[in-house]
Amino acid sequence: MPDTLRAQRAPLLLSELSSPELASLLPEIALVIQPVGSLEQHGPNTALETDTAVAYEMSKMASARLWPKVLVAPPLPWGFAPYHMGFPGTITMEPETVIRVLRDVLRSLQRHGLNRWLLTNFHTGNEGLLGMAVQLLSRELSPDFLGSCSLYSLEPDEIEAQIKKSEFVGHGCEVETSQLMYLRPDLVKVHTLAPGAKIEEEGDRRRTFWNRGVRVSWDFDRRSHNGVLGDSRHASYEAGESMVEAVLDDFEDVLNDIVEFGS
Amino acid sequence: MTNSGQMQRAGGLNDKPLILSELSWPEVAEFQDGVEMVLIPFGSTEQHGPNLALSADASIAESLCLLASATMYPRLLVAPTVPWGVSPHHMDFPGTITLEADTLLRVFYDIVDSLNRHGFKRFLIVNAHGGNKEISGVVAQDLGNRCELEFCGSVFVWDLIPDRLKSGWQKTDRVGHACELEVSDALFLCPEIVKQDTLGAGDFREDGWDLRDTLARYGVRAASNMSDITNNGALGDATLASVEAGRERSEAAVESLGNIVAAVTRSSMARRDQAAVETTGG
Repeated sequence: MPDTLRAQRAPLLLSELSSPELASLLPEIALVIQPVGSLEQHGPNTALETDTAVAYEMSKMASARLWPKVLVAPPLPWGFAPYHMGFPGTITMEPETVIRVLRDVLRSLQRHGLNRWLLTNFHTGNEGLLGMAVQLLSRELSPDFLGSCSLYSLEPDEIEAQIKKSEFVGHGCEVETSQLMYLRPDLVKVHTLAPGAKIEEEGDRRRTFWNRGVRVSWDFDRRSHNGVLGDSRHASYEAGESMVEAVLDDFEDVLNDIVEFGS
Repeated sequence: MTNSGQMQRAGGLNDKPLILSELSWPEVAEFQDGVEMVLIPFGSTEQHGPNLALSADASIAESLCLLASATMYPRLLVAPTVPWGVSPHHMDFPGTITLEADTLLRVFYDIVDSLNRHGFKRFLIVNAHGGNKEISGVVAQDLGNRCELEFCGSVFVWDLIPDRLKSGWQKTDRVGHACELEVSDALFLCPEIVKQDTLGAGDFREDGWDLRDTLARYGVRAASNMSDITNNGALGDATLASVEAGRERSEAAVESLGNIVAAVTRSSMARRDQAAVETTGG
């Protein structure tokens, strides 16, 4: 392996390597992370690529921590977001499209001997789709490992409690924006941060159903005039740093377990 | 864009491209009426020998679109890059990813349909990978006829460059992949992908060239393997690349893109005017 690569201990990114560089690293790579993103409205607070950026940056930082065992593939820059289509710029993909992309990518990696994959995600709308993808592609491709991880699931409650200042958070909110301030501050629209313009009735109805185990579809423009739930004026770099590093500490443990699993 | 924070972009007139993924939705609304064309960069993740990173075609397509967007700010909106393409002929080399034609048809349909629903009506797929040419053409025609668009086209970046800037800067007989021309383009547009320490000429396998040359002579499209004609995955001689060549070629490509966009805009305006005349009974 080139000495320059060994010295860096930087994230291992498929897109940045040449084919010969990858070939020299193959014996040491134990897992490929495939981030799945979304291109969707986040109110006036952050860029459309927020969810892609958080998933990709966290995957990169995890790769650096576990260097050289974890290779990160180029992210899917869009996902399943039909309920954000009420706001301009959102792109939503059909479930079949996303599954086909994942199938083709993972099958390609498999042909090069990379047979252990983790899909990472930061968009709640992708959860069901990725769960299904794992079920379908595990049977079809028979990899040594295939799982999906929505990284916000690793957020410690106590840190969320410190950051959360609004009654309802969840989209374009202080918890999300703080993390983006730490990971990709260039994507935060600091001059137009605004609280959610929540439409009360719709949110209450949905929450009532949610608490009783019923999942309904809704459009975000019926829940909030500006697309936001929460108050990003309370976001901060420091809060983002503490949340992201806590998530990464847990994620590192999970990845080490995956790397050990079945090996 | 996911890489733009780290990418060194080639300098445009004001270095300010209009990047969809970096906008908030209110900003999209603000810029929308001034957008004449949505550019969709289309590349690949595939071996480029010892010379370029696996993202080469995606990086070149994206950088060229960003340069054009900055030059024509704020009239060109750059959508997220499709970073994988049709690359089965490179699968003998580690790291290559290849997508099925069906997959790509669906990918482009979903992207264009989503943006069309927000009111964008003109799309140009800017493709930097030769292996994508066929599917790009199919996509352009299919979507152009299926959706309510004013324009849907695709173009291969090498077709944006006048012949004299190919033959003029070409130093070897067998170019076209990880060669002096492609590496020159990368040196200007996205130098971070160039593997300066290991640049090498194509290590040809002579026994594969008779078939390749014959098929090329008659324009035969066929499934093939790069490993049949080159041992290291490269053609040409990347050691003969130069940033000057890349600059001249890229600036010409941007000018060509501008001509395409201008012609499409003129045509759309004319059709709209005509429709308005017909509606009002002129």
